[in-house]
Amino acid sequence: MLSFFPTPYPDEILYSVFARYHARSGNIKPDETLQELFNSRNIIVRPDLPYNLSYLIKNLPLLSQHTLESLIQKHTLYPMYAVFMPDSKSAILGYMKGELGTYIYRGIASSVYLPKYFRFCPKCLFENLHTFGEAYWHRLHQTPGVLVCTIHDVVLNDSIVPIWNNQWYQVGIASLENCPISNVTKNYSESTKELLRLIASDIEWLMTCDFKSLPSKELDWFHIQYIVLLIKRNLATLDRQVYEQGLRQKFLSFYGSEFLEALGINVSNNNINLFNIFRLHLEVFDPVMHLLMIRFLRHSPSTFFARKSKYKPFGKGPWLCLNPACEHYLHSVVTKLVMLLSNDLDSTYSYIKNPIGTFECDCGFQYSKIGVNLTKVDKFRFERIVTFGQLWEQKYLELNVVDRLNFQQAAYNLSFNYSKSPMTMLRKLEALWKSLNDSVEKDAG
Amino acid sequence: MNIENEWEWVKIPNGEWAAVAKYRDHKLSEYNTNPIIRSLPPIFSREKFVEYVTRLPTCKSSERELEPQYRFHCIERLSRYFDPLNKTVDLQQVVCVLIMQGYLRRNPLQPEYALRSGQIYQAVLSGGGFNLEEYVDVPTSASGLTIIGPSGIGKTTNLLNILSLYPQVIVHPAHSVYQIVWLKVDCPHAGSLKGLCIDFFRAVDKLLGTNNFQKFGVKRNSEDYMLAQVAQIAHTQHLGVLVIDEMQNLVAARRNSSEMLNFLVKMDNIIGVPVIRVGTNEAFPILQGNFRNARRGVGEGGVIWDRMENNREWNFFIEGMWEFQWTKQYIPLTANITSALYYESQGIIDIVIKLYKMVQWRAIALGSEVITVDLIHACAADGLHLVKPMLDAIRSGDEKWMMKYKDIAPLDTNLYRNKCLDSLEETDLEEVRRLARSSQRMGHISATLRHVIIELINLDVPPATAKSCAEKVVTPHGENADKKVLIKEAYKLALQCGNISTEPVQHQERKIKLQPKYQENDIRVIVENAKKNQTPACEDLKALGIIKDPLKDFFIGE
Repeated sequence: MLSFFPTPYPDEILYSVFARYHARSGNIKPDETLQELFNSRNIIVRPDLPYNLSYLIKNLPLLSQHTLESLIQKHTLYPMYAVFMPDSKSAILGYMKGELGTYIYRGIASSVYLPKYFRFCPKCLFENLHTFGEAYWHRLHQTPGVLVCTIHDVVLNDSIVPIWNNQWYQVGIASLENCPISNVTKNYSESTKELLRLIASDIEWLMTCDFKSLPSKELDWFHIQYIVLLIKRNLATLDRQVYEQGLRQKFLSFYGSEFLEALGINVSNNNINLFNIFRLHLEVFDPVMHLLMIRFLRHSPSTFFARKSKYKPFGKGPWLCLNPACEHYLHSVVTKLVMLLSNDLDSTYSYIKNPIGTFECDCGFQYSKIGVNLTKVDKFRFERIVTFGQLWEQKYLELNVVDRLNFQQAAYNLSFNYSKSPMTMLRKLEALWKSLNDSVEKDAG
Repeated sequence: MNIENEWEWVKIPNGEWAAVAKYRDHKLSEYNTNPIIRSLPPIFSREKFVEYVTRLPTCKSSERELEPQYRFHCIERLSRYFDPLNKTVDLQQVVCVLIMQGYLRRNPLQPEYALRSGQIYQAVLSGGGFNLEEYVDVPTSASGLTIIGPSGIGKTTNLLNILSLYPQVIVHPAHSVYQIVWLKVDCPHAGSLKGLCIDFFRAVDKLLGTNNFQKFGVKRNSEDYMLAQVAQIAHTQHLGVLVIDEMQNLVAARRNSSEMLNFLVKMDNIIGVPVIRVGTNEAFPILQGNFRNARRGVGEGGVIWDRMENNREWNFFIEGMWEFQWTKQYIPLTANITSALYYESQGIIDIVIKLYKMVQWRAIALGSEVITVDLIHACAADGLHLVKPMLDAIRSGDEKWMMKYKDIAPLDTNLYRNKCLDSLEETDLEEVRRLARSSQRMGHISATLRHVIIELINLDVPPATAKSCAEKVVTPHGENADKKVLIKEAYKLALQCGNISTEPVQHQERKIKLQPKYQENDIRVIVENAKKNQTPACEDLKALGIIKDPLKDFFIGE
């Protein structure tokens, strides 16, 4: 049970709050502080995603108004990752709460590159010293992708404190000693500065927006939004193939090499992982790349997250009626399309990888189709006839027993006779219809 | 009345009950920016205080009819009897000011708080508890208080009753901290600082359920380290006032008592936690020994409590106590009884209450159920024989005899006060007062205004005009205007007033040369004359016998 807990300053990283607790408690040994805060002496205090926080909440003084969610949301880097990793979101949150604290090292969070040293804004440093009597590490300044202070519009400096170290209790508090103010500040060109400001403010928006207001997005949602936007700009095809070469060039000319270098992004052809964010089964990803891509696609994060584009592998309707019996044969009259949704299928995302649609014409004829239209004749393609419809059934009922069996055999063969050429399939269908008509006439005759 | 109903209470695990902070606005605005002060109860009026603090035992007339064994229990209620005296009311106001003022510059919302916290931690790291002043340089607003008086007159009781108006622990949900409003620690018997620190850790642990004693109270830890930890805890937990009782234990300390006294001074001077030192008369010499302490103790906030005198207040007190009588027959108070009680107790409250209890027991036990003057004397002779020698000493008024019992040794405050004044050199005192005065006055004049006035005076504007002109110019322009412009404008204004002598005054003064008063055979005259006449001055001086003829020294033998 703690007898006090320092009130976190605005945008203070929890790492720094723990260090302040250590100093005010008078503890000398860090493991004593860890024991008090987390009920465990063997915890590694991470600057980005601290864990065992549910113990901390239990240990707080009575009636303390801190909640687990508000601490994580306001004082860790969690929101930055959370938005882009819906699947693992709950897992990470669980780690931070502390069920399996050490597992946080594995998986997604491990692949995000933090800056090497704690960064600070000299103006913030002096302002904090003046208003609070002490300085602290700002969360936003340690976030990957942020190189300028959004308050003072100043390029951030590197402190002498490595971000990965085991000395949190000593270096967790920023001071004039560990934040030397160098005379040489990096000079970026005006356009780069503008972009740095833009990306920093985007990240700030992500970190501070109420994450409950951002509806949870699944990975396929991101994938679809990117593909839809890329298709619009002719950088991807309907079957989700991205023209990486062209994208690299446009990306480079949009941001400029100075900016990309400052952020440490390699756009050369050697970097095959550059556009990993388009992958459906995302394991390694970079939130900064997401934000850069969003801006590249001419969106702000807020409008991007409000997008509602759906995956339309078969394009817009109406589609062709493929019923030779129908008067609309080969006319675009079909408006009814039924697609299987992600949760109807066994394997994840197969609805994107292998979209299946069932098209139903008013004449009752239904055919199904797998995969997008790639070639010109693809629009005549069908995989299976689901129902022949009433026109066919009427004729069928007029047949004698032998012919019925013959027709059934022929129809069965057609349904499961996958032919590579859509035109052959169509012709077979026409022939079937013709033979049905012929048989009926023969019977009548 | 009970203050407990005015708070919502929560139980700290392994600790005591804590009151949930309710923030109120005090009538004085300077207290309202500090949540730690805002959570304190309001400043009580004298009437309100007396109402709150008085503890009267329940006493129903029907109880007089009970069987003796029950009434013995009733009589025991008198040990919790508390009736505030005039000096209690005074003390309460002093303590209230002490606590609130002490918090004034320990505002967790102000930068000084965090700064001091960091500085104390530096002292902790290097184990510099003795010389906290080397680490901490943030100004504080606390002052101390010393209460000295013979034992049994209710110093501790009064103080604890006053402090009981404050919840001892207040929890601040918005700031996630427990505030310890007051903490009482007895001065350890050996007078060791380590002992004091350990008692402090234990007392805090008992309140908050922490393990400070386990962490910091290990014997092998250095005294220095523990002292720094005490300072840090007091600062972090917003300790309102630290009461050190039984200061007379320091007299028997093996080591020099000044170390502890010094540390206590540092607690209020440097950390800003007010310290109340309580001790019997025996403690007086040691508080006197260290002058700095003495000045702090008695000069600024010192209360010397003595036995009650046989006067109106004594009568009033006895009247109040007399109500609680459980003998079958109620005996009204008479002047004889009052003076008999005074004679036997010599105005020591603890003794008079005990005596009153004994008298009632005796009256009930004897079956007479009547309290008489004789019974009082008889009880005193029986029941007070342990303290009899001391009471006899007091009664005799013989100071030498009283000195034997250090607890009750009389205090010579006059002697003491003179000693204090002597030690403070007069010039020093004047300097201190002058500085205080000027800094007060300067406080009203802004830096810019002062600058302009000084510049104008340099330009030979009379001070009064300079001040009025400067004020006229600076006020509309504001503080941040360019000083040069301000000076120009102000000077223009001053010239228009026409009060400036065009002839520089200083010049005239310089021309006047001092006319020295020459004595007969003045060396200065001789040397000047010699200069005028272009003769060596040494000849004239030799002639007048001011310097010896050097040659003569060599021919002494002739």
